[in-house]
Amino acid sequence: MPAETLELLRGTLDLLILRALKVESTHGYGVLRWIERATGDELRIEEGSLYPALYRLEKRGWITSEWGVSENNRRARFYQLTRKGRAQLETEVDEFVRFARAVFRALDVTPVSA
Amino acid sequence: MEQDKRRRYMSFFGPRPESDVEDEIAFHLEMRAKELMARGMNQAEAREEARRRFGDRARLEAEMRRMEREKARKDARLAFFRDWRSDLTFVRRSLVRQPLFTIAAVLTLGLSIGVNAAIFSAVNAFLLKPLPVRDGDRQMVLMYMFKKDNISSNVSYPFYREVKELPVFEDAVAWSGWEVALRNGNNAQKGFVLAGSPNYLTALGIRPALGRIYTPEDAAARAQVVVLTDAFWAREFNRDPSVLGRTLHLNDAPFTVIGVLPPAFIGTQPLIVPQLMMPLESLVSFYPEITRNLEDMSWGSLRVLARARPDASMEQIRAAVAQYSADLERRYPKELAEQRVAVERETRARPDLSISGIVPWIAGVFFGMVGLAVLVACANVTNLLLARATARRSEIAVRGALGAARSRVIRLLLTESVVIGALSLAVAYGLARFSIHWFNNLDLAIDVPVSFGLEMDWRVFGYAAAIALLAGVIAGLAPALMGSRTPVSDVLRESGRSGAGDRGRTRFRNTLVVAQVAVSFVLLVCGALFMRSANGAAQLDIGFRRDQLLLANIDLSFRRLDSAQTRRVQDRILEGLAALPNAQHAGLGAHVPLGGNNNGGNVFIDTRPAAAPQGLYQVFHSSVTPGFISAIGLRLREGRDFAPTDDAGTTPVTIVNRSLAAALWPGENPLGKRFRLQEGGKEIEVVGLIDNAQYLLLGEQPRPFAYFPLRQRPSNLTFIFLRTKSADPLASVADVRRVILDVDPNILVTGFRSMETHLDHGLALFFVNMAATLATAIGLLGLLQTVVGLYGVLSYTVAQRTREFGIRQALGARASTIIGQVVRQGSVLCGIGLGIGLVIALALTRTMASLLYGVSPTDVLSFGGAFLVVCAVAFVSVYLPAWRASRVAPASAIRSE
Repeated sequence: MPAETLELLRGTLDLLILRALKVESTHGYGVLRWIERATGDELRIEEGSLYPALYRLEKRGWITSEWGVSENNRRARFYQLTRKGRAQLETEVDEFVRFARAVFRALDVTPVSA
Repeated sequence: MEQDKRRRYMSFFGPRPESDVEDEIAFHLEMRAKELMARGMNQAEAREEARRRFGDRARLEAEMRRMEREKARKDARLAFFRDWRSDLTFVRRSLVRQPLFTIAAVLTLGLSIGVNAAIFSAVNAFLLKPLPVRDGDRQMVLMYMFKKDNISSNVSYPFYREVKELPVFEDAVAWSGWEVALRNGNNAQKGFVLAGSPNYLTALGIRPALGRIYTPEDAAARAQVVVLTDAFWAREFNRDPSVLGRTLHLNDAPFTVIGVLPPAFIGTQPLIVPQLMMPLESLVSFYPEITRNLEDMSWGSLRVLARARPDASMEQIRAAVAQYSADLERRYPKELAEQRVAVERETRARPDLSISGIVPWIAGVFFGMVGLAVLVACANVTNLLLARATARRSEIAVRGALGAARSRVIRLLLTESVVIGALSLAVAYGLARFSIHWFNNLDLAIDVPVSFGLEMDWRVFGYAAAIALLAGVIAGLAPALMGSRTPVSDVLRESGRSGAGDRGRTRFRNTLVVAQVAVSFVLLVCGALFMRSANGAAQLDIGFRRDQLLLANIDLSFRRLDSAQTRRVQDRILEGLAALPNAQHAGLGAHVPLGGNNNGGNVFIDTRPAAAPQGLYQVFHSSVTPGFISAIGLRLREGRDFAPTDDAGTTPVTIVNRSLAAALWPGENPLGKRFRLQEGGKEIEVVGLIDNAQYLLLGEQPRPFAYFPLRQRPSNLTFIFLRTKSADPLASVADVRRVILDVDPNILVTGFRSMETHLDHGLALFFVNMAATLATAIGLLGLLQTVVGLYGVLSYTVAQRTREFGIRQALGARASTIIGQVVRQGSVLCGIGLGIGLVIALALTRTMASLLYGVSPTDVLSFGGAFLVVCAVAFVSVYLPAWRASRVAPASAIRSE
């Protein structure tokens, strides 16, 4: 784990949570770990931002939660993507890519992949 | 671990925001620590590191709790609606699955709510709805009342002008109704005109729908202008906007149409819809005396509405009017001695101050009846639901056992009965609409256009909806509470069978039976009493004959004839009528008895023989031709009928009734006695004495009445009275038309009807007949409901005991013994119900005494009839199912339900 991690860009947290849940339904810690692993531990997710974000997404109807039993047999709240959330993820990915390309173009850097 | 397990189960019973948030955070920390330990940290370090990374735990926890609670609230709301939707789905399925039950329940409730709403719409129109004028709730009616008998009478123009200036009033309007010969081009008809004070339309805040309204300037100029009511505009001109500027002839005087009134405003005369409105002052163009009349304090032909100041209390208004009344009496000791001025809120003075006092009574009686009908309907639906709840006991008990909360089950069952209530509202709405339409379109034998103004407005609908909802809840409450209480063990033990047990429920149903018997007995008694009353009213001695008498209205105001011409025309008509082959007797008269308005006037007799008591006398009178007395069938006891020689130039004569004779010359023969009509007027000699008759109201106390020869007191408006030889007087209609056509084709002849129709469909008997029809309908509705209810309950109770009967028969009991026992049980319940019903009926009918004609409120026939009918219905309801139960083979009865 690197000593310094990148600050999360505003708005990207929601996108990453949705993306994490697209892989599988999981609990809050699972979401956090997926993001850390998927970004090669480059991104630092604050618990203080994650959980409110989960509530927010649930309120918007993009994810739902239900209590279940975790892999180590503990009671845990599992989050899953709704159909609405899946559609939202697609739009947000598109938007983010357009945004990133624009920023890359401005910085005159060629992205590794779109 | 133990605690954890408990929490897990708890989660089935709803969200717990505090512990959920705590759990989630604890889980997170534990997972993080585990991961760190996997990387080689020891447990203490790992925990410390996890906590450090987590950050400000207290703050986050607080925030999460807030969000969690918010979510829980939203979820609860959603769950409520989801449950409700599933309840509705369930209810819909179960109602569709049992269509007979549904139809029975909905019709039972719907019919009685519909009748209720229809009655309410009448109450709304007569008692609640303010006039559609400016500040309708502040309008006051002012009239004279005779101190002696509280009969109201109209007021004069000077009276109106003085009332307008009383400090408790902001403004006032006055008006009177006029029958006119109305000619539009070549089309002549009878018209009813409302002639108002100069400010009549402006002060009432009326805005024209077309053109303009008349103003005080029109009145000052005596302009010959008229404003049309919407109904007349639609009927006569097909709503043609080019009607403005057209000329209409009223009694042969040309008037210009200047505007059309909005549909809502039909004038302020209760029940009557005029075709036209115009200023009183403009009447001068065809009625020259009006100018003098308007200055005359004793010309009582106007009605007055005064708008109270917003801050004036009813007491202040009454006090101010009482003071004015005393003041008037002092200024006019002769003319107004017998009267006082009465003031009342407009809504409390319909249709007239004389009878508005009993209108709330009538409304109360009918409300009571339909209220009872709704209660019976509720009881019936309760019964049906109870019977079904019993049949569904296992289903509901199992739901309970599977974790449905009791409140959920109650809610489901209540939803069901409220849905039934809503469906009944639809039935009720239809029925009420139909009744209102029927009532508004009744064909009345009255000379002026009448409207009852019944309509389905928001008040009526709201009322029906409230009753339907309430009825739904009331009907559903008991079954819901009882149904939800059944413990599952009981039901499962019985494996769906129901025994004779469950005492609470049996007692409840017994109470319902008793209540139902009582209520239907009361309804039947009321219905029977009103029916007998209508019959009694038809048998009442009204002092003249009803049969073989043709009436028609002839109007000679189409041309301004002088009095000699008028007399000649009337003579020729009378001769023509008397010569008809079908005629027994023919006469003309200025009024038809029991015709409602304009029957006679107020006359003062100022010369008095010593024998008579002091004070002025109030008599009603009319002008008639020779032959009238025989034609109408008044009984002439002494003296003679008028003769053609009783003319303008000869001695004024009169025929008086016994009541007048007894008042003026008690114990003496009135023939040859004399009185005057005005101070210094000519003496009038009594030449005939007739029996008393009914003149203004059916069932009235005998009132003094005098007839004068038409030639001595002329009138342009007269009625034809033709006693025919044929049983059907209408057979002569064509002949009468021909007679009149021969005299002058321009004479307006309208309103052909038999005296019987005049009485039955006119003002005399109409309300009595209506009351009888309505009361009978409610009584029959009550009876129908009783049949449904009693048969339903008793047969259900018996059917439940089929198994018991089977066992008893198998053990040797005879069928007749079982039937006897069931019938005995039913009889006890009915007996109690009849006893209670009798007490209620006796108390209720006593208050109805003033509404009944020729029948005592404790009429034996009505009570006996109702008793027999209820007994018969109850007996059949008990006997049939008992007999059926006794026929079932014991073995099969034991085996199955």
